[in-house]
Amino acid sequence: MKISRRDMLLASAAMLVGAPAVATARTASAPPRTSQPASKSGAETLSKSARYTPVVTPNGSTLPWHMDNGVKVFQLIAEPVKREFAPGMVVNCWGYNGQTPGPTIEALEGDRVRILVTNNLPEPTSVHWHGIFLPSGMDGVAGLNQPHIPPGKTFVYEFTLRQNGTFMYHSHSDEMLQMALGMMGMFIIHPRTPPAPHIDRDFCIMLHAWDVDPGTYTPNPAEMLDFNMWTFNSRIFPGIDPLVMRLGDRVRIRLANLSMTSHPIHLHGHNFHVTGTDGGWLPPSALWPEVTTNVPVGSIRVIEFIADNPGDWAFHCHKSHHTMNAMGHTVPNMLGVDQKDVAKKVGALLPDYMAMGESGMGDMGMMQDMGMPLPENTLPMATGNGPFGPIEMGGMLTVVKIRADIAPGDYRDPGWYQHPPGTVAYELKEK
Amino acid sequence: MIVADTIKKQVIVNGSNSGEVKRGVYSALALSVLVISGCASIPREAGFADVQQQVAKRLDQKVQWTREADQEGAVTQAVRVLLQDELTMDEAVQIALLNNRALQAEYERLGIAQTDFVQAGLLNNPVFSAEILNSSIGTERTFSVAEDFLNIFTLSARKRLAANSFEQVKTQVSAQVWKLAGEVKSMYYTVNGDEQALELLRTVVGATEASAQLAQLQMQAGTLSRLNQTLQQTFYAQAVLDLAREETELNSHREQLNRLLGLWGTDVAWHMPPRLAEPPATLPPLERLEARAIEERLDLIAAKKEIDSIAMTLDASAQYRVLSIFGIGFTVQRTSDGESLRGPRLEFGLPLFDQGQAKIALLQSQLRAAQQRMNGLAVDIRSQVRTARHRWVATHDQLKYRRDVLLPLHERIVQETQFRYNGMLAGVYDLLIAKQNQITSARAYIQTLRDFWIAQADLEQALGMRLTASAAPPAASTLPIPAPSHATGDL
Repeated sequence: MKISRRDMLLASAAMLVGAPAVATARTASAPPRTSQPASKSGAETLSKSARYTPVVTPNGSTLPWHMDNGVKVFQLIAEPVKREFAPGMVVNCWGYNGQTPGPTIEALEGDRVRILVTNNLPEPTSVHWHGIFLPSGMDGVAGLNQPHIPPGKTFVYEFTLRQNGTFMYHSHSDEMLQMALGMMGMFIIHPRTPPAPHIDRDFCIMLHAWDVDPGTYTPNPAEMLDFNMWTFNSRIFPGIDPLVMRLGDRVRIRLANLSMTSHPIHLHGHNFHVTGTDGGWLPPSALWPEVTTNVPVGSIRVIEFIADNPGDWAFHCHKSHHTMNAMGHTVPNMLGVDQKDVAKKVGALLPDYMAMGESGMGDMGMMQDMGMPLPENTLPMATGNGPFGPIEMGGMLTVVKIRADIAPGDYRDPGWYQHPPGTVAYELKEK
Repeated sequence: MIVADTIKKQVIVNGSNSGEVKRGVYSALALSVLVISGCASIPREAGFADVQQQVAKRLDQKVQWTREADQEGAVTQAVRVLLQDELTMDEAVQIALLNNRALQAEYERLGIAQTDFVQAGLLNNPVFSAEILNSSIGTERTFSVAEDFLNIFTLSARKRLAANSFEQVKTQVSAQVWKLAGEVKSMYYTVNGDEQALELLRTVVGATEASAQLAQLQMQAGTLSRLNQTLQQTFYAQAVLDLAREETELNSHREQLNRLLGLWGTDVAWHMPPRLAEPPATLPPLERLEARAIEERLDLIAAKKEIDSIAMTLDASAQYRVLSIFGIGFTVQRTSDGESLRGPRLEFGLPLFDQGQAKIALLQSQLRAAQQRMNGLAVDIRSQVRTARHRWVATHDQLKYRRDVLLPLHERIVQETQFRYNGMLAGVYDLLIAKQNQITSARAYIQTLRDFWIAQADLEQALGMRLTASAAPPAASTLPIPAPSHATGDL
């Protein structure tokens, strides 16, 4: 069945997160907002003036704009934000417009954009537009290209978009600290005429890493190597929205990495091709198939695949510690240690003590179910339950949910996959 | 002590072999003696009742002077009864007052002082002398009886002096009782604190033992290197040594208490209540501490009496300084040609060379020296009181701080470490170390508590008097010291 592109575009009119509403009031004068709840990747009304399939930023939003004499005007407010990484853990971050990552900026190639950046941080800031071709003075490296934006002041960045692709924006003033605290967001530039094949669902995921000492609320910006929290869009499994798609959809996922280490992102049940980076689009002949793509530091990888395998598919960083929340890396290794007798002795001294680790770390889930308390503001190392039991992962994990019966533009969580009979691994019963 | 040695006895007597003369002399002298001196017998109690009274002002416990063999059995019985069940501090003091042999020896000083007192009231015996001289003509017989009247003149002064000395000895004996009670209290608290702290140390050793066992199991399972396992083993071994050393200390302190209580044989197996009493919430306000100490301190009272004795001696010596010998008597003489002579006899020393000036100067120096010593003692007493009081208040404050601030902090550390353990963010060794640190803090609390009670006993000793009744230690404690065998789940 061939559907016209126009039909598709109109059909996608009744969709999606972060509709760029045409506002009459200049948002530059809006009072600074503090924490906003992360919006779900559900549908919001798309203005009819949109001419592209808008991206969906799970647990995020798209930045609204208004037109001013042919210039698309955006407003970013750099401010401290409180971000819930997952229920049970709230972190004092720095971000934009009440969230980290900041709202996704979405525009068209050829647009002239004007971005007002208001600094509500306690120190100067600036914004760099990663991968975008623009005048040197708009590049945002404070001290090099422009003065630092003092606290309380608003600076204006204005340039014409001369390319399309997937880009980012992030602070470039006291960069190490401000990025460590979450000052980043995605910048998507759509081509005026989207090339074939048509993308049905387009997701943005910003990868990041944080060092939040258990029992604390603020990331440690001085950390270089020993991070302990790993996030997709500053969220942690099971707090990450699933990526919901229809069976047969052509799906694009744009992965951006501003953490201090690379992340090999892996998709189950499908293979994909890397179709673009923050440098541009790969020619089709150069595409090669992957199930895991390594996203280096300061880079973007855009992957595309056909969601032709229905079900619930894990989508996660394959560095296994990145699918764990805070861990003790110096905890003694109790694998294979029979602690029964000594456990009694210890229990006499410490009534809440339970021996752990003898047969692996799966005990953790049981401990949490028994309500063993953790330090405040600390998530269990691995948590989240699936339909068949505890998933025993945290961190950089979400679920790609492919269903045949999803309506176009419906991003709502369809629940767990109902497996057809005979397609679930089963226990071999003795006769 | 007794009358100055310048009073000499005179032994000059002349007498006849006539019975009636002897009878007359004797009766006259006997009459005079009886009139002047008091009763010459020695009372059995020897002033112990006064000691008991002085002690009763300061202690609830009773003192008893065991002099008869059959009383010993009763004392042993009484001690055994007191040793039954747990040995309380009051019982310990009572046992010491009954059973401490050095104290019993001290009581004999009363008997000795008593004899001195009686001796001072005794006049010198008159002296009878006879001379029988044979010559070619015949036999000359001379009989005399004489009495030293100087000792009669000085009798009342001597008696006053002896009475004062007797009081001094009684005071000194009471002071010894008080001192012994103080020593018993200090040592009691030392032992009680030691025992309680030792129990907690056993728990610490148990924690290091658990760590050592876990390390051993880890090494067997291949998850811990021999080096790290050895380190854990070393901590345990060291803790065992620490325990042994403390047990030896405790034993030594128990023996010191046994010595004070005069116990031996099977009687040394007493046990104390498991916990030191808790301190009062607030200390009673004590006023006029230094003034009260000056009033009540028995050693100061004894020092005053010593000064009085020297002053009395000085007065008496000054009064009779020129009179060294003074004897009056009666002589009867039968000459060899049958004549009978009789008449009085007088003897006294002529103060040509020795007018007692050296003696007086000596006594004056001694008096001044005694006064300075007493002044020095008063200064020391005041300082002792201030020191003891400061320590008493300071240890009480420290106890409060440990209990309200430090112990809860350690409890919080154990709790937070348990939370981390639950999240596999900390290991079991970290948890055990946090627990050990908490127990060590509890041990320090016990030791401070012991120091508080010892400071209170020292304050009483410095005062020479017990503190007000409200400062008495209450019954057993409700202290939140971690008792490892309780699974209260109160983390």
